[in-house]
Amino acid sequence: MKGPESLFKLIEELRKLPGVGRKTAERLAFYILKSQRHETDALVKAISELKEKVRLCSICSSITETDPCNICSDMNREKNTLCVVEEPHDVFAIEKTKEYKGSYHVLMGVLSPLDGIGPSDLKIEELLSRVRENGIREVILATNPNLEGEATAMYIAKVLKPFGMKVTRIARGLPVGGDLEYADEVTLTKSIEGRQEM
Amino acid sequence: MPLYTTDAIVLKSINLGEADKIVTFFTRRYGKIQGVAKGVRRTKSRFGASLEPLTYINLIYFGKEHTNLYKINTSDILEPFNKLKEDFDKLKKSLFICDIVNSTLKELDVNLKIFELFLNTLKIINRAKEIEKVDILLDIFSLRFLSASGFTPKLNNCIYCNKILSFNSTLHTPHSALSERLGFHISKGGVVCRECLNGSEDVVRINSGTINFMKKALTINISNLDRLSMPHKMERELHKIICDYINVHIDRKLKSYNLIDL
Ligand SMILES: [Zn+2]
Ligand SMILES: [Zn+2]
Repeated sequence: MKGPESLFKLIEELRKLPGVGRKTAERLAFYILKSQRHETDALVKAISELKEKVRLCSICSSITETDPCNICSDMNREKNTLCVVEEPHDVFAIEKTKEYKGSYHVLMGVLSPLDGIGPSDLKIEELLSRVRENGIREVILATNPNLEGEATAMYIAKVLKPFGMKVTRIARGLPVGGDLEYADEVTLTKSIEGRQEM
Repeated sequence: MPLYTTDAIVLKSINLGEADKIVTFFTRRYGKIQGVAKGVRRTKSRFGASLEPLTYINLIYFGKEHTNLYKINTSDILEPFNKLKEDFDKLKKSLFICDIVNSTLKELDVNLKIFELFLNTLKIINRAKEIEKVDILLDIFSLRFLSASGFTPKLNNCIYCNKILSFNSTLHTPHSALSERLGFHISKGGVVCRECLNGSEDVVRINSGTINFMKKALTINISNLDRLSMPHKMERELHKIICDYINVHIDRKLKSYNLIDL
């Protein structure tokens, strides 16, 4: 294909974004080409500001522009309940529910034995020092309900055991809006195990 | 495009894009293959838990012949191995044998013996009541795995002088001179008699009882692997020899190795 090299370069960069194929990348590139200068400047500025300003909270490792983050510095959030998640975007997912009033701890990954990712590659030592120093009453393990997430949750539960606080695991079961008959047997087993009295 | 149907054990899965996964399977009929599962990470995905590692499934996939990435059509759980996944000790040990299988098998390598060994070992770990028994099971698995890969240790004759080493396990006493003076050659994978021991390198000491145990472990029906047991002291000797022996034959250092002690 012939054409301006700078256009191809942009298409190549856009294609690296998740969910963007060649067609979409081309459409986006031509849209950007036709846009007003001030619009494209704003986009470029937003991207570079994001990379400059956003960093990890020194307490919970969530992403933030201020350190500590809004949640860690909010006096209305419970400081003795910690929700442990794999990645910063999990904090956003749980925050959307507006139900959780405690604090977070982001592990920045998950145990992955087949890739050689062990506890020292995650923020587990940091979790233990928070537990040691801050009188934590409950740790909620909210890693993903897959093999690696479960392995990580089991490992953390094991290392937290000597501290004697309450350690809970988020419930696993059927997705709301789903049909029972299409659920696989593992999901169904978990949802029967996690049943609640009504 | 051909459609493939087989039973399989999920070895590994890695995230791809927003909702997909690339899954590695050890299939009974076609060996190790990789496939893309679309939308598997969405909560309403029809794949559900069937593509989690260490799950025994019935798998249907398609794709051009000799492709290195197939498309996964259907997977149904035959055995989820829930007990094995809910116990950290059992899980890390299962992942260790999964790592041995995954890092040793080459794509499309069909090996029925290893498939059955792997499946049976997972079944045994899943149902195991005493976790201590699983430790020795890992060594037995490794030994059988090496044997099925073409590295059966030579245990009947001295690898140097070919003398038949006839010790009767029923007459054997741990303090006899005979039991103290036998060797195992790690890289050659075989026993060394008392006379040939002097001066040979790469040889470790081995008890005749351990040799007998290895013989049993190599011949017992794989569904009964958990029926074997041995004294604790011998267990350590066996473990050391098996570890050295497997390191010679697996060129990559196993990544999961460090996690066994967690
Ligand atoms: Zn924070
Ligand atoms: Zn000899």
